[in-house]
Amino acid sequence: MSTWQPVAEALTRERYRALVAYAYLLERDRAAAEDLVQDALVRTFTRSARFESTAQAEAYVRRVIASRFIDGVCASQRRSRRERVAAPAELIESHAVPVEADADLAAAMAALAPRVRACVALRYLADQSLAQTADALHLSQGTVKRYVHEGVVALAMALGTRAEDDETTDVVAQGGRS
Amino acid sequence: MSDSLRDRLERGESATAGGFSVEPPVGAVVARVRRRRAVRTVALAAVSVAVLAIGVGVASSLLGDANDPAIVNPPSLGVSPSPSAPIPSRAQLLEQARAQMVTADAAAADAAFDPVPGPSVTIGKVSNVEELGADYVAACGAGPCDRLTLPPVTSEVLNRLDDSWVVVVDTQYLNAVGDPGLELTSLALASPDGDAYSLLDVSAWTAAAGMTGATYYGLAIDPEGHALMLELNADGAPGQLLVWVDLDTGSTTVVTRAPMDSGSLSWTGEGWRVWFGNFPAQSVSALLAPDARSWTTEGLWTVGDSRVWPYDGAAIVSWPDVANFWYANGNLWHGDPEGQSYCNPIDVTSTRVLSYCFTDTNAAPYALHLATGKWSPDPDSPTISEVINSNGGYVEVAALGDGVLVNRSADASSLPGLTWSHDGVETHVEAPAGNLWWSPRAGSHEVWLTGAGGVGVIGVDGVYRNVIGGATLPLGSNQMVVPIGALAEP
Repeated sequence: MSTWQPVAEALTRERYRALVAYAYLLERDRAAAEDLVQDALVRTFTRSARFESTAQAEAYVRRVIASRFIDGVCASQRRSRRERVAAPAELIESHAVPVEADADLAAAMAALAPRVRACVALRYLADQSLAQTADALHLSQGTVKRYVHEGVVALAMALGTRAEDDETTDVVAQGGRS
Repeated sequence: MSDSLRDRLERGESATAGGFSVEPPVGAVVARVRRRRAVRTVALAAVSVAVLAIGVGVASSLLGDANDPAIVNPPSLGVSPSPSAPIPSRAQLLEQARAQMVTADAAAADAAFDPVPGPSVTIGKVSNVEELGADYVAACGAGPCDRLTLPPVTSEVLNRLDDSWVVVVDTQYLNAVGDPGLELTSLALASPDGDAYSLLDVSAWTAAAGMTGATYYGLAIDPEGHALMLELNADGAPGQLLVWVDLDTGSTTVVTRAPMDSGSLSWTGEGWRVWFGNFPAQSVSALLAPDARSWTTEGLWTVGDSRVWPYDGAAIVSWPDVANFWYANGNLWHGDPEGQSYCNPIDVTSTRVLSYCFTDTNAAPYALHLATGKWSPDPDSPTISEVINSNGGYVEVAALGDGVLVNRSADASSLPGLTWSHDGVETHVEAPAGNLWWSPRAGSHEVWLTGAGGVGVIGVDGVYRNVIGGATLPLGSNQMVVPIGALAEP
């Protein structure tokens, strides 16, 4: 059996629902979330790199999901489908699953701009560093810092959550992409 | 006590996952991967034969799968977006990128730039919150909202500026009353000799311009002409605006308010090089005159709807979610070595780019030879071990002199973990915990550090010198460091 296959099978079997839920917080569209996850899984395991654990592979897949999500937003903008992506949460309810386990959270995430949403998801749900988030989304680290801050503040307002100190005072390395 | 955001998100994801009754499509995923890997193997073999046949020496370094996790198939590159279609090879992507290189569009630049006078700003003065207006007072509430106040910059200081100086960007985010855009931002000048001066109050300018809530994005400085170009986002409006500032008089010019995204700008020694993406679907590239009142696109280039990040004598050309390339010597080259998925450039000279490529066990140096576009391991630079920090992220690396500075601190509040590898020796650098800021300019004689301990600099003697003391910094403020001076055009 190929070296990639056991990890791919285990990750899909054990973490597929969690990955779809993660993608759903980005897309708020069940079908689109599943497409996003499957596409990310296929792309991840088509590449040559080897993963030594499902956790390592999952982190990579989450980066691909966020990256593909942003690409989908860009593509949809190019195809003049901006309305669906940028629409207020109440206007895209028809794309949502009938019953949301955490509708407030889903709505608050949907209200964020797509790149802000992707940055928050990568930082808080995929545990990616600022540098990794910037790399995955092809943004400067300063822009990621800005988007994360905007997202944290907006979610705090909507949900009453608090951010840990390091999440609001993080200062990024310039890393050449100023 | 309220939830932490992380807890709430994780709980929400878990609850959402629990609500899905979907069966994991294990077999379908594996089958699709198999098909794609088979197609890829055939495609790579075909390209290998073709390239070998024409005798291109760089073939082996260019072939292979697109290994960046963000690589996708955007319509602009003419590659099928279908998940079942073969992924373009690195060589194919490079050729497609080269085909997208065009002469900069003068009409697009003309449409983007429309210089109009802006409000004046007092150079060297940092306003208190009351002077900025009611929005700031309300946002500060009972908090102190102190500003970073240093001796004001003078003409004599401006005359001393050179490439070793930096701009320190000090920002406090005022989210107390729920305005995510409101911030207090001021600029200071700092030298590695320990001098520091207040330069400009960005918040005072935005307040005077009626753009309360505008946020800082970037800057460049002409140290000889005593001028500064600021990149701001106004009130959450789409895109950024450029503001030119005369540092002798405080007069300003708003150069553009066109809805362009994520620009990058630099001082070239002859003018302000501006790259903006998404205008609305292409890059704008122009060289603005030193006074920012005229511009040219003659001889300048742009690439599709890419983003460009200038270095000294080279530039990264980035297609969001596609791939990165280096532009140098009139050509595009692969952004990363073959088979490496996470690389950070740390030094650029006239002949090569040095990047560190990370795995979970080490960070290895690779050099892109700008004359040939060929990547190879760099035996002259040390390989870094222990590259995962306590947050699970990669450590920071920066070029310093003839060696590499490594910061293993996970964040500004953790214990310091600075080491400098040079001349075959790894030495510990005594410094407060913080974040490294390195220059995109060739020849790294200093690395700046920001953190709770203040703003300081590490020189090629391996010694940390504090420039702005931690006790001087306002509570809750963050600092970024921006190098000043000219970057050579690629």
